[in-house]
Amino acid sequence: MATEHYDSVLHPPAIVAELKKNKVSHVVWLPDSETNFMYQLLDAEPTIDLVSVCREGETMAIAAGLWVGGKKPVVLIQNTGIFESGDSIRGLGLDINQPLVMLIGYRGWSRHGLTNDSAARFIEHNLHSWGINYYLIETDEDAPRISLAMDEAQRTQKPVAVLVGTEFGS
Amino acid sequence: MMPSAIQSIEAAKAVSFHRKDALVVATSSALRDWHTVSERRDLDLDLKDCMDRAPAVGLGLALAQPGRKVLVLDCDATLRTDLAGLATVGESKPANLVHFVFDDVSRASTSGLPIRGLDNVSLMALAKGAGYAKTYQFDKLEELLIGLEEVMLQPGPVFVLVKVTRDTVSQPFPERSMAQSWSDLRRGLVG
Repeated sequence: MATEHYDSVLHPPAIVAELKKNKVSHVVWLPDSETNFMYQLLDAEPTIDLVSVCREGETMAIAAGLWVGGKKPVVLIQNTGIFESGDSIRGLGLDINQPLVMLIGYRGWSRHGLTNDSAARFIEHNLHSWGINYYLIETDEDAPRISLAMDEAQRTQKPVAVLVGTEFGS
Repeated sequence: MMPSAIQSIEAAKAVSFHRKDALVVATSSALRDWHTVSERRDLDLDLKDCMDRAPAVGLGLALAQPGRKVLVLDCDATLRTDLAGLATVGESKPANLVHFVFDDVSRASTSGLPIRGLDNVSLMALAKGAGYAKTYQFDKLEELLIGLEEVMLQPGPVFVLVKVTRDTVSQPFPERSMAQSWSDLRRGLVG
């Protein structure tokens, strides 16, 4: 029996390249320890502005204001932040038809065995309950799924999620 | 004895008088007044849902449209539910943002019941500490009308606390849906 092998390394440059390819103007995010490499890259990227928040629920609202004003933002938060953001996703994502791509750190995700992290166990159920489609990325080869999500958000005028199922490689 | 305050509808008219072509994000009771006095509804963004998010929406709009003034018309009770939003605005420092908070001394939003301990909280001090460039407080209509001239010239983010009273029967929300309001403004700004 063949053993399935996953080289679960996702490097921030692969994500930043996707954001640039899709002409993303702003990344609205909650800074955390998982995304420090991403921060350094984005901070050095002249075509993308970073907007940091104090609570995750603000990201959808800031993104909504940016979008109404003609910009193309994405949000970058952890799955725990999605639970905090429920009302904003409903009222300022779905109800106003915002084509928002949400990059969500999939804390607790594992392909192997049980996960004890309730943040991982509940996140997909939450997205299902809102009718929000999502893509999983775990390696650099998966990064082009961000473009799929961007296209889908524009086509459907709805939020679309990208679950980042691994820690970033340096 | 009730503290000195301005009728909320008169305060809204004063803002409208000084508004020029500013974009306006209005929420909660401030929106109920605002939509009846605004003369540029095509530049208004209604927030009759997710009312705690007015500063965040205004921040996004201000960053997207740096060449235009953006006014946020907020209320004490809605701001109280997301005080962290003050720090988020303070960190981004949008020079074109003016954040009005209509502080209802008549407590109409809670049917006259005081929120216990709310008077212990100084929204002005919080805004200052969060990094707003300038803060103002008004409780007399004449001073508001004159003072807004200076407010609108200040580099932001500017925080303006206006002490207001409200009638016991409040205005209804605007009839147009939020989605319609957002779609109209986006079309106007982006085409």
